[in-house]
Amino acid sequence: MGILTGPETRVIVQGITGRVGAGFARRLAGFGTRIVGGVTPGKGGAEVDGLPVFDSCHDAVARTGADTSFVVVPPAAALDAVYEAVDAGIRLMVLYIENVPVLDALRLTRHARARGAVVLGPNSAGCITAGGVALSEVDPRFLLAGRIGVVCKSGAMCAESATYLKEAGLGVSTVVSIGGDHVLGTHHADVLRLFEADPDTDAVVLIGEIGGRSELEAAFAVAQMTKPVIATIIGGSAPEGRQMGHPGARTGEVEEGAAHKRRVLAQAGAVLTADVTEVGRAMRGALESRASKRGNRP
Amino acid sequence: MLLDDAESTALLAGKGALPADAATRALGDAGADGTLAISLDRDRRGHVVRLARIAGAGIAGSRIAGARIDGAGIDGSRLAHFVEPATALPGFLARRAAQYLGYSGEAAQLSARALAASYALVLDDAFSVEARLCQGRITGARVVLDATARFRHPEWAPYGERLEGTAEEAPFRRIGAVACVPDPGAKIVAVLSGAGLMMTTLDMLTARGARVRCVIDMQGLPLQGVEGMAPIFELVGRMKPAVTLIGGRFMAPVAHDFAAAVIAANRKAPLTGQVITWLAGNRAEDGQILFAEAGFRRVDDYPAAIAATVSAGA
Repeated sequence: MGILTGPETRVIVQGITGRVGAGFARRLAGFGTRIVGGVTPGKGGAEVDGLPVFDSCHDAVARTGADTSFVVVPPAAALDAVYEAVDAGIRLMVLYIENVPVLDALRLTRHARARGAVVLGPNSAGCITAGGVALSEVDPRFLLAGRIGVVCKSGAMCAESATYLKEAGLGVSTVVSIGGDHVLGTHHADVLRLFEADPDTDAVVLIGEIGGRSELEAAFAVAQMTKPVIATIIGGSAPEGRQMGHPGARTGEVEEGAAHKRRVLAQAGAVLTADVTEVGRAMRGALESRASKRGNRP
Repeated sequence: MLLDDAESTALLAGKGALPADAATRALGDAGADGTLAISLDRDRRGHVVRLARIAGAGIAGSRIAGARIDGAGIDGSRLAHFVEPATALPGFLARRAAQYLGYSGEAAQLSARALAASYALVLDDAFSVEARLCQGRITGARVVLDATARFRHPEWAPYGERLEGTAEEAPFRRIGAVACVPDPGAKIVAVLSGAGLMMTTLDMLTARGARVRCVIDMQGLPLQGVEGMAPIFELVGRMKPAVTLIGGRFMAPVAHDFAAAVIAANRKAPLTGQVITWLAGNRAEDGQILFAEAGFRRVDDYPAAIAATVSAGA
């Protein structure tokens, strides 16, 4: 059933009474995700599309058994929203919101990790398990269900990867966007380890980008994996020091550049492609090569 | 938000650091003992204090400036210390820093104040802080404030709008998009939905030999319809591109709305040169029809759209 979520996942939307929050609650429920309510302080007792609104995460968890939160509060409220969710026992939070202050992102991610909770983002497009739980704006009908895990920073690259895998006849298990901000709750390596342990995932596509060292940390995980990893790093042609859409996508030190990351990932055993459009073909090749070594078909 | 020397020094002074006095100013840049910098360590989720013994250059010429505080001092040395947010700035670090810079007595006390002030500033939403020290006093500084924290800092209002980027890039920030101009003399512009596509498109165009004037991530502007798209078209139009690639893959059912907004924006601020459109995702077929009816060149496959752009721009 993929990683991070499962059939029992029960989701609340923090910020459900806002325009974006209500829209997401509606869309995610429409995808079949079990949305059990929402939280907006001061609006407890209200309803949004028949979903109960609670004043606090504690109320929401106590009344609905929620274990996951889709967070779409204003950036100024993100820090407290995560503190509250973690304190209430929420185990997975998708921070779809962007423009969270760096210091707040640093504090909320450390707080969640120290308590064993998973934060995707800030600035994450969420995660989606094909045929399972959708915590993303990606419409699951566009995904082919299968056994390839995908981890990217960018939501657009998640969609592109799934598309080119589908064109190669390969489906996805779970697609994870870890977010494009400077400080992230979850790094590529964290997701790789989950995919390695997941019996429903046979191989992984990793899309990295310039800026930060998440991909270098990922190389250590790749080196220890038994499953094939197809990787690419985007932003290699960006001028030095220039921000490329994501706040965290800019080169500073040499290790943060695409060339170095590609080299380190290749040394760790990943198969590097020139760009995202080649990941399907490369994955097909890697699986066939693996199968032929084992004497069976992929 | 990059602050200038005077603004940065004043902020540090407000946190307790002592700026240069007449005696240290008289020594000039050559009298500088070293540079103290505190920056974000995004991967370890904390901050790093770095010191380098550097002399002979003003703060503007620093090798460890701004976003890339990575250099070593002129003698090849550098002191780096990761600060755990839970423990905050440890007391011993001030003594270690003073020792590294060769300070004792009053200079050591002053450098400790400079270090404490710098850390206080990062805990007050500075993205990075850099200060040049002479006898423990600050002779120059550069502070970058985290613009996303602006909402809780009314005292930052006097700094006004500090948009990142070159003269061509900054106006895109003003309207809510992000642009990168790798080659101001080139004739290809690409307008994409999403940071990932922005980067990938630049990579793919460059790998195929094209020179790219500008790539743009529209951010959330397509969701605002023509009101969001028209300002992008106005700015792109000023570049007078020979070829403009416009595209995106929309997983929410908005691809046709995007196409309609592009067409309306082009009526309002028509682009010169050839316009190539690529549209994929939820309700893309409807949008593709709109593009074709509007007379745009329509390429429905991303790599083919890249190839068409390269070819048209050759």
